[in-house]
Amino acid sequence: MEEWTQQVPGEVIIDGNDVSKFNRKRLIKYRREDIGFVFQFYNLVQNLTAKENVELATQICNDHLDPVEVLKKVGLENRMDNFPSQLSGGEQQRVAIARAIAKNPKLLLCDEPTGALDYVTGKQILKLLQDTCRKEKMTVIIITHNGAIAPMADKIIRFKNGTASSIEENENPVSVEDIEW
Amino acid sequence: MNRIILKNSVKEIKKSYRRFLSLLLISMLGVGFFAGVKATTPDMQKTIDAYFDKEKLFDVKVVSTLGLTNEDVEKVKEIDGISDVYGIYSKDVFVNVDDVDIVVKVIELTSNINNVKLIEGRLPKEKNECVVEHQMIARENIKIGDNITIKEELEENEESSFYERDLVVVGTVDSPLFISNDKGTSTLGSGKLSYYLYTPKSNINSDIYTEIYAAAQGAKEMDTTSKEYSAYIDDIIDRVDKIKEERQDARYNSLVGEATEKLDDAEKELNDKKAEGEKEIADAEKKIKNGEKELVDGQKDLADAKEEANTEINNATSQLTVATQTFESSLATFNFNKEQAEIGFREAESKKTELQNNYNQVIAGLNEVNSQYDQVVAELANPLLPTDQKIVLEETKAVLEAKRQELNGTASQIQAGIAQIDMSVVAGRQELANGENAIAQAQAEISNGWNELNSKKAEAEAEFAKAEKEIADAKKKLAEGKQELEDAKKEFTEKVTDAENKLLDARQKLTDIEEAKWYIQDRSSNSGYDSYVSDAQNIEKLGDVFPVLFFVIAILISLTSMTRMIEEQRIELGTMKALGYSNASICLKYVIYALVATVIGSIFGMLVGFNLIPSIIISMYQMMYPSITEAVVEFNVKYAVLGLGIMAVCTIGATLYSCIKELVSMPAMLMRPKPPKSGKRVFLEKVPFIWNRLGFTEKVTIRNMFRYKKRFLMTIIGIMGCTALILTGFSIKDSISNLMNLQYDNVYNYDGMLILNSSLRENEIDDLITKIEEKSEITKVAKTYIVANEATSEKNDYKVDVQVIVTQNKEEFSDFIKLNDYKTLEEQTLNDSEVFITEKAAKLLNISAGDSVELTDKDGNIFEAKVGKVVENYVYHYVYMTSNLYEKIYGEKYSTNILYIKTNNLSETEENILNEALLKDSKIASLTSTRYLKNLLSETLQALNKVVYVLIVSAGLLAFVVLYNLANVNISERIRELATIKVLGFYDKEVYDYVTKEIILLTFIGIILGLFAGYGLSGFILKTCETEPLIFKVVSLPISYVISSGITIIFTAIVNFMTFFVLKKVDMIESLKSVE
Repeated sequence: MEEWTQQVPGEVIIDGNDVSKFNRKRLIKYRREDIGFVFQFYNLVQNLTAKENVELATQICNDHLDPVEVLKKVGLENRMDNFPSQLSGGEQQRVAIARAIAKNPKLLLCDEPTGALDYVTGKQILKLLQDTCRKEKMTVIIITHNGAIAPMADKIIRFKNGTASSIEENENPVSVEDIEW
Repeated sequence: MNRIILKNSVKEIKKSYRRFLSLLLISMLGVGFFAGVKATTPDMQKTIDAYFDKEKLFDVKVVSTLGLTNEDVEKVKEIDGISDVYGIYSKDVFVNVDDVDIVVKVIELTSNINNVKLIEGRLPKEKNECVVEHQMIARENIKIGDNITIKEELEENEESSFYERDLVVVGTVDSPLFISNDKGTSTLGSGKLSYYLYTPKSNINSDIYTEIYAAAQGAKEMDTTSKEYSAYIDDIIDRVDKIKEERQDARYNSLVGEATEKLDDAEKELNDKKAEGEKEIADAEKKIKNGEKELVDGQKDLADAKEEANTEINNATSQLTVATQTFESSLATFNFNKEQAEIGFREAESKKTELQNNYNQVIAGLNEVNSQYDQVVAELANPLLPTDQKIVLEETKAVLEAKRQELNGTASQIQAGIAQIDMSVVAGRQELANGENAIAQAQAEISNGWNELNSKKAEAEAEFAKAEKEIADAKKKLAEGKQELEDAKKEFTEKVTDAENKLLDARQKLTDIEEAKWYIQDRSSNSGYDSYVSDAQNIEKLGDVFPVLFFVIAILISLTSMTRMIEEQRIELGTMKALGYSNASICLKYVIYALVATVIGSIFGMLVGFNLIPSIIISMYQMMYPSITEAVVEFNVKYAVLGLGIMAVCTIGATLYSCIKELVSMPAMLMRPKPPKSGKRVFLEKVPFIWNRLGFTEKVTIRNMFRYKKRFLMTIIGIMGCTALILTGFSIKDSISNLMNLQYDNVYNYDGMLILNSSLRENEIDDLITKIEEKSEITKVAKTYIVANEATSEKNDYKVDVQVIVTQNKEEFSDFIKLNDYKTLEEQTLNDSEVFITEKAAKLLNISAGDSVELTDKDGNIFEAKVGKVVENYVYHYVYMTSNLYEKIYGEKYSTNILYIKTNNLSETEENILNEALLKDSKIASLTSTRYLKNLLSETLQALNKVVYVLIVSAGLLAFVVLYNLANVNISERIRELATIKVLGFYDKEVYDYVTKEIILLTFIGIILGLFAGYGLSGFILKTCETEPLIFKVVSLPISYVISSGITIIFTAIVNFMTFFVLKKVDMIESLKSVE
């Protein structure tokens, strides 16, 4: 993400485009249309209901999914009109994921999506992300310190001190249910 | 530890410089404005105190109805607490400038008390020099070096008070006796004192003083506006009051004694003169009598002389007549004799002729004889001749000889006869001639006698005529003399009675002399001083409202800022607590932060406020008080401490409160993110009709507004306050200008007021009106009488200076002054039983229609009148009545002293031309044009207007700072949310809208509330500022609402514009951070 906001040496090529060469406006447009983002602390707008939080994202992009459908998909059909403060951490993160995927992005970036969640809820979220990836054919990148999650990924890139130390393709990604930490 | 906290504070300041700066600015504005406006009143008071001290203005002033003497001065000097006493002479006179008589007070120039400040030129040295008020040069067509002539209204036999009345203007001054443009009243002209001038003592011809000015010991050290000073001076005045009676009596007695003495002298002189005159008359009468006698004598003498002369003449005439008769008879005799003689002569002549003839015959015979003889002789001689012949011849010769003898005898006889005849003729002729001569002589004698008689007669007649003429002359002269004497006698009697009457009058008057009355006054008698003090107090009142509002807003803002800051830093708080820092130490950082911002801001604010605001306001008041030029601007410790104190206490209080509120929680709690405030549904959502139509951001905005109630309220209050302040500023301005429009459009209908010379008689005024009405520019003229009175009522102790306006024509009065009921604004007509009083006066006196009002004239007589209506009026106080009512109330005959005129919508130049033409008439003493008054008033009110601009600008600044601060708080509070939506892909514009929509909406709500609040505030402030002679009707023009809103909107826009850039810089990384 750093590369997207401020220029550092090097190239960021996504889908054949050198994102690092994009200007500010182009970058915003790119984020708006092609990227979904899931934060560690959900970053829901406290003032908006679950549904509205999803709408916050969909209203700015053209090719979006129906917020209600997406929320149903993440299992929140009954909590749609609740404010974030009325939701548990897992539910909030699910709203956040719904918000991210409702934009129908090509790329879903997740920054420690389970960092603030307990084990069970964390697994539920990871399951949701894996399902989204599989079912919606969406590229999902999960950034995490929790190495235990790695086996579920198709591709694992390990960073050490800011540089990629290894890149490996996972031939047989395991299902979330099988992961323990 | 403290060092680290200090360091931490400094770092914090660097980090959040924007917040710090806004805190600092708001403190600066709040404290600066508060301190500045608050300090203005003391500064104004100090300014006037310094001015008075510098010019040594009197502390106590004594005026007396009978003047003051040197002895009075000495006595006042002896009073405890009085250090210096000076007697001064002054007099109101007319000065003619450009054909207009201006009322000017001539004051004796002194040093050591009431010193004048020289502005231009030099002070006068000679008695024909003067210095005039600086304004007079500025406003009238006079310059240094010009000559002016002062004109006094002198009574008969009254001496001029000045040796020189043609004065050269050598300079201009400002006098501390007159600090205001309004110099009070005068008994001359229109009753308004226009200017003053100073002339040296050497030009004053008076042995009395009109005023005694005294300086009080140690009063200089006191503040002239302080209670201490008033109390001190009141004590001194009480002491002066103690000698009052004695001095009054002394003055009265000396004046009456002197006058009595003078009168006695005069009487004696009169009696002397009377006796002298009577003696003179008696002498004259005697003389005339003598003259008459002489005349009679002369006439008698003349008659006698005439008689005598006539007798003489008659005698002479008769004598002469007798002589003439005698002469005539003798002449006749002579003529007869002469005739006889002539006849005798003729006879003698014929005898003679006969004799001659005889003689001639004889001669012829003789000749023949002779020739014969000769022949004979000759023949004889012939010797040849025979002797016979010779004898014959001898015989013949002898015969011839005998014949010749005979003949010769005869011839001789004849000749003798002839001779005898001749002789007798000659004798006769001689005798005749003698007779003729005697006749002629007698004739001559007689004619001489006649001539002589005639000439004598003529002479006598001439003499008589002369004598007669002389007598006639003498008679005439005598008659004239008699007449003259008669006249003189009459005149003398008249004069004597006159003088006696006068003496009687004077004696009467002497008994009429009222007891002397002393008026002991303090500085409030100084024209303008009271109004300056009350203006200063008005500013104080203004200072109670405006800066307090400012202050409240500033405190609210800094309070939110600090609270917000602490809330943002709960984790740090928790960490510190976990590390074992005491609560006090933790708080210290924020306290230091707040304190530094507040103190620095406040100090800057004070520096600017204390210097700028009072000097601006004082300089604005200079328009009204031109002589106060040196503003004393001081650092006012009281308000500095108060301002800084309140600000600091509030900010630190808020800081501590927030800190303590947070610190009650356990460190672990603190380090966890603060549970976010839960979103809430707002009532609007229950109205799906509206809610569903709202765009997404609108919904967020509305929710946000209700969620962050504190911020919501803060913003609204802030913006409301600023809008209200700005609108108030404009409203004050509008109301002030409206005041003039109301007064000059709704009340005053006339275009000019002609003040007439006081000596005019009614028919002269009528002539003047006819003359004026002939001018095409003038459509209407109204005779009016105006007099200044003091109005009081039974309801309270208030005294109001009113102008009593008396009209002769109540029906047409509304063409000149509209009398509208103050409530219904319906037009009213005066009647002959009630007076109308203007609104403010009625209010001050607490009276209404049906009550009675007491009017006190300048001599102190009190008249009571019934109030019929209270009428609309905005400036000054008036009582209106008809001339009939006036005569009834005052028991005095109505007399016109003013003419109101209405003109034909003239332009300013046309009006000036007309006025100039009007003033050429000597019957018009002065002229006041409504247009001029309006301009003058607007000039005065301009000063207040400018104060308003200060308010507007300050309020604008405040608005800006408030908005800026709110925007900052808004952003910093929502930085995470903003970063998140940025990550979501919101364009800059969309992020901006997301934030500013809220601000904009709040701004609008704030503006609308602010406009209401502003209207209310204007009313409050205008009521506070309303000076005695004015009524402010709160008027806010639509344009003021627009401008006030506009200014707030512009500031909002500027702040939003700045926000846009701040938002652009919001780092999306913020979204990744944990909730702090």
